[in-house]
Amino acid sequence: MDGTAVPAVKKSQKDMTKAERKALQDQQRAEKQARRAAVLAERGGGGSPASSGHGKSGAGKTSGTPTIPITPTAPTSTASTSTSYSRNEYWEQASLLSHIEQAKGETHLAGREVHPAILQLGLLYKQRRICGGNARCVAMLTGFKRVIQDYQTPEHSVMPRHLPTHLSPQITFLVSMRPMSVGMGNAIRYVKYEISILPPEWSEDQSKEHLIQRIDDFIRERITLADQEIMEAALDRIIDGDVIAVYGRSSIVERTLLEAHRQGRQFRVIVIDGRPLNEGRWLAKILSDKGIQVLYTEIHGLSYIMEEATKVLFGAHAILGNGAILGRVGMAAVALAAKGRRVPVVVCAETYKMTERVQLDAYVHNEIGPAELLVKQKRDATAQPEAKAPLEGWEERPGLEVLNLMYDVTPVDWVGVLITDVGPVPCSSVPVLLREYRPMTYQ
Amino acid sequence: MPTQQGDTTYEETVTHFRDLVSTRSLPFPVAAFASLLEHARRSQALTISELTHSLSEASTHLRLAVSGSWPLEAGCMLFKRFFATVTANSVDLEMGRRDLLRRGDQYVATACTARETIAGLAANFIKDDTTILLHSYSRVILALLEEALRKGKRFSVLVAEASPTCSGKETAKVLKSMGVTVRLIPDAAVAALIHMVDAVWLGAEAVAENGGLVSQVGTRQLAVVAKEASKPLFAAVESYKFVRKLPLGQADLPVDAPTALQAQGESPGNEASKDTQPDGEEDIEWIKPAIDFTPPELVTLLVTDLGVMAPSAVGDELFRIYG
Repeated sequence: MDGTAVPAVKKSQKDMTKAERKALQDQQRAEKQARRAAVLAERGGGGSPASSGHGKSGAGKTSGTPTIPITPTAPTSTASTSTSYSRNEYWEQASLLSHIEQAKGETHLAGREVHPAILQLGLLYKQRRICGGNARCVAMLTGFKRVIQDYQTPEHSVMPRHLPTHLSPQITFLVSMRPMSVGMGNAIRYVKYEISILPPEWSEDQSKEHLIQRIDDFIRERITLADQEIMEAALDRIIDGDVIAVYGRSSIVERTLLEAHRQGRQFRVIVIDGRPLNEGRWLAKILSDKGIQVLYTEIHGLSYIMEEATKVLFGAHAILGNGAILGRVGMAAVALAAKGRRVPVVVCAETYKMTERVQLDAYVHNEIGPAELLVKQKRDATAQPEAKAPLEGWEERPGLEVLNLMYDVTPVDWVGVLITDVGPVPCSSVPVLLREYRPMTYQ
Repeated sequence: MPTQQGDTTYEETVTHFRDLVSTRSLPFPVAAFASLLEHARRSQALTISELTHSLSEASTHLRLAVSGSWPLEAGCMLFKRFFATVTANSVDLEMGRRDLLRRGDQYVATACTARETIAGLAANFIKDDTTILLHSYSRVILALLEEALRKGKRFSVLVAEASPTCSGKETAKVLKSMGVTVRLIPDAAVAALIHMVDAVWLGAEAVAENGGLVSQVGTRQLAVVAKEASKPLFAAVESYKFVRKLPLGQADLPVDAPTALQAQGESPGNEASKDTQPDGEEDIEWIKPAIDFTPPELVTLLVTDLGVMAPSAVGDELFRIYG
């Protein structure tokens, strides 16, 4: 067990007795709780829980933590050593990423109007138990169905007017657990649109039934059937003898590879994976369970592994207005390596993930994941549970930031073909798709 | 009944297609379109759905007759789309067929004027005192150079011979007869002579959805050389050659696809295409692909009958046609 822990940490831990370690842990826990209580007390003064949960970005968590002096360029600048910044101020003033909202993930901020199903869903989002664009979107829509089912229009109000105001806090809560994806945004717009066109003369039950039906339609047409279409088109691109490199785990890529294998195509798969989510492990397991020959590697081995690959297959988080692809962080690196070796890159994405937003780099808009994921030693189960990771307690260290960005942007000319549910298109045709299928994004 | 109609009708359609290509020298997509139109004219189908079925069978026969030809594929796809649009509002077969034939004939007539439109547009791109590099044989290119001459442009031409068909020789002959200063160069000399060139002009057999060109083998390497030397590369293509396919690279092209000229069976200057090999080399294996794929990054502009466009606009036009 100790063999795998990192030596510097292990020593101090090893010297402690079990009781001492436990005491230390308890102490840390108590400190954390005290901090949280301070935050809560501060919040209590400033408006209703729901409004503070949404309105004041990023101000919550860190304003309560003790102010830590931070010296961005410590050795050279004497001025900065004398000024003390809070960690949050540092991000706001000095960082490229200060504009990106971080999900606070505090469930106690949920208002009474948040439906239990949504509460549960929010937690699952937060813990990354439901992960991946399609899964999150389907789960959200399913949650909305429950909300609509249990909804009752108050007196002196009509459903098309009131239901959106009832959905808003649900959405706000979900976003506070984890920022929503482009596809989820499109799905929400769709639901709101469907609500807005409900005939006012319909009875409540009829309206609800219709809405639930329309939500099911969305899931079926825009996700389930779309995936089927994409899979069939993507299968054409897999031929005998291919070595297909994939990154992380995408539901559509997984389906395509499994189907290609079922049809008896002879190919190998290289699963390239990236920290901290390491989603690719599951993919590697699932594929090899089915008898596909898999090579699992981390992104560090990229330049080496790309020599073998004949194709690269990606899923996507979103398709941006200029044809660039927003994908799991690390995807752009893989695409670039592929371009360098002239390995064609195939991206599979449903059209409901399209947005007119254009983004030239990953800093404009992104999601900052919990830094703990990068800090924690998630490496293996055999490590001693109490073993301390080298970066543990990074919040207390001046001049050390941990950045866990979730997505990156792969530019148009690094992608060979984009396979959507309306067929394979070059990425340069995305503006055309957006124009022709504008109603499909409900923008 | 589609089954009773029998193979003879399909065979006739294929023969008709070959006739159109060889005697009227129609380009593949137009010939495919016209022969399918002819098939509809002769068909004894009693309902629209029968006719639809019969036409799709005929397309399949055409595809089998010249397997792996994307230009032909483009024609078949266009016809299918055209048929669906025209007959969408038809009440009965006769009305549908009448509309189809009338508008189809119009379409073929318009398609045949595409070349002149392109020539008119492209001639403006040819400047005085320039040297143009050509590859293999293309009727659009010849038409546009003729138009440029008519407009009083003075230019000289280098023609890459385009081994193994050596169709460049035919181009050179035609240009010489027009009175153009023309010199043939071996394919291997393209890089050596690119410094003499001001612009590269190419025809193509088909244009993929991303604006890449499918054309006679050797085009891609010429395009690579032109790019390296920063020489503009223009492709003159009729819009009916746009095909809704998206190759990721050379490997996605149909294997053993013939060039349009080869399939026509009367390739100009065709001496090298017969596999006569010098003594003692019979047992050495050759690979002789007929076509290659030039990626859109290497193409500066496309001059088409729909206007002058960047390669990425091809996808847009295809959307307009196929939705």
